[in-house]
Amino acid sequence: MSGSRAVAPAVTTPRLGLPNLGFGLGLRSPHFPAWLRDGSRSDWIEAISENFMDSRGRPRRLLRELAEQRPVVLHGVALSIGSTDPLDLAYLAALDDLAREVDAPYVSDHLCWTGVGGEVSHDLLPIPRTEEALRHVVGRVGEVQDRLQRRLVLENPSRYLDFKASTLDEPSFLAAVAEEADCGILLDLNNVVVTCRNEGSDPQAFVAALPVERIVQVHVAGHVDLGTHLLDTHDAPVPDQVLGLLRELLERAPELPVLLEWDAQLPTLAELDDELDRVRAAARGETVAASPLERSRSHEGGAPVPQPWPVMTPHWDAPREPDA
Amino acid sequence: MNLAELQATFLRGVRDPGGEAGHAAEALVVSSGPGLVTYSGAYWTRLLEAARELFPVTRATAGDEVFDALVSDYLQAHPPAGTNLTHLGADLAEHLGRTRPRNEDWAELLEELVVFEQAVLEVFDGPGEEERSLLAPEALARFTPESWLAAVLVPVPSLRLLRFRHRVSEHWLRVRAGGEATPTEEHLAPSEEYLTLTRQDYRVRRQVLPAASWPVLSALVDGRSVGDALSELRFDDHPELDLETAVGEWFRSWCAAGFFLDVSET
Repeated sequence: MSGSRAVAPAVTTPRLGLPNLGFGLGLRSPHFPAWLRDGSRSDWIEAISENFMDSRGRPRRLLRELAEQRPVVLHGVALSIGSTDPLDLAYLAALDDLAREVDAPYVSDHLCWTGVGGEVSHDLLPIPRTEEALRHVVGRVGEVQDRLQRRLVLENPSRYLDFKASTLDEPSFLAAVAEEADCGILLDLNNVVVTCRNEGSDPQAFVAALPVERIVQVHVAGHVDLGTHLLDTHDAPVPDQVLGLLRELLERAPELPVLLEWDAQLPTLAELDDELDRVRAAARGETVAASPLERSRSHEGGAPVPQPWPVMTPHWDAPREPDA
Repeated sequence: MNLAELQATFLRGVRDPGGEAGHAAEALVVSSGPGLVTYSGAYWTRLLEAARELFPVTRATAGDEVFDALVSDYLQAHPPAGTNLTHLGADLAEHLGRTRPRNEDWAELLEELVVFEQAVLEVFDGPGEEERSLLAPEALARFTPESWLAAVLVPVPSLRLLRFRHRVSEHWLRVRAGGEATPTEEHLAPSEEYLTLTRQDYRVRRQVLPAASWPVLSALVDGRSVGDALSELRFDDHPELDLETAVGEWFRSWCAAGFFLDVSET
């Protein structure tokens, strides 16, 4: 089924000329008070675009405030670049507006589709990796970059199945999209581990097959092992296997922005700062101890849900309760 | 099968993995694990969890089982179409209004709670007036009685007028403060509640309105002149009020509460 594909000559400028932002944290609404009150050792912030694009209230104002303190990258979950529905031009206009407002150095989303026929699944659905899909995605990335007048960076999502129609392996497809559409790659190393375990492939070979100059950013996160498969839950410390892939990647490309994602069973911001320090140390090649956040995780009350979680949970410091 | 057909088939299978749609989607894929079920489970769990976050008091009042059933029924009829999950329940009240049992106070209370919680969300994150100057009560002093009747007030974009058949906001505040979610007989008993929601300094504000003032404020928000709005007053319905004094106080309090951006003389 999945073969590789000849890739166009690589560009030579690291990160496509985009900045090395350092080590960052994903912005999650329950942490807003701590961000404003105590700050963080995070060099930069990644904000979920959809949580702020439509906001005309406190969330957007607070994001603007944070953007004055450190770089903010917008990371989307609903661009649906692989969908056969027309591109949502209102969505792109709102994204453009927000990106300008926070002076985002680039915007990212996922190499996936989230809906079709006007329905939105709010999930990152896998693309059948065919020539038809490749042509389709490449065309849409070009249109998005033209409209936004900035670089789009696409992430490999976690996968729990594959389409029988796929003819390309995933790294070849990702590389071909990046090369032919001239966009960047957000390499999620946790997703690489999850996908490769679920389909029985080699995560090191996955990473090695990508054009390293097009990798603009890295995600690290934790997952849960359900026995039959791994689930990308973002509710655990970064596992050793992911840290190992990070070290190997940074030997090839020493200056890549690294972002720690954590969405469920959320620790405090101070605890995430410590976890980010652990990632920093591992990236320097140091041997790191087990994370203090490694604790028994409870999934009582239902199966864990793959992340990222796109809803902006209204846990702001000023509660939205009306005054009595 | 082209890409569009494949995606439509797959998404139908995600929404309904146990039926024919699920079988059709399964035929498209390979997986060594649960595969399609993982996506389907995530789809329904994520949407339900979002609805629980967005309507916490409706959920607490209904109980998890009833709430989840209501939301699942709603989502079957209204698959999400927007990219922002915060808008997931925009049509939930309308759906409950069509499908809930008639003549059941608890069901009506749930519908009204959804209306209230949706309005709070919209006011919290919608357009506000934080960077604009509002109409101050003193601005009304420049009008002569005649010019005042012809005046038209411009409401702030966050202003919502809400009218309930139960004491919805009282119940809501009680539950949010940690009180018992099971509605009291008092909260279930029909007892009209007239409210406004606005936003100031990014905080949602609730104000309870005197029943007599409701038709006046409604008419003003509809863009009618002060004179027109006052013609909605039903003096006979409120023999207890000194309406002349009350009306003056209403306008002053509405301006003080930041209900209006401006006033124009027509």
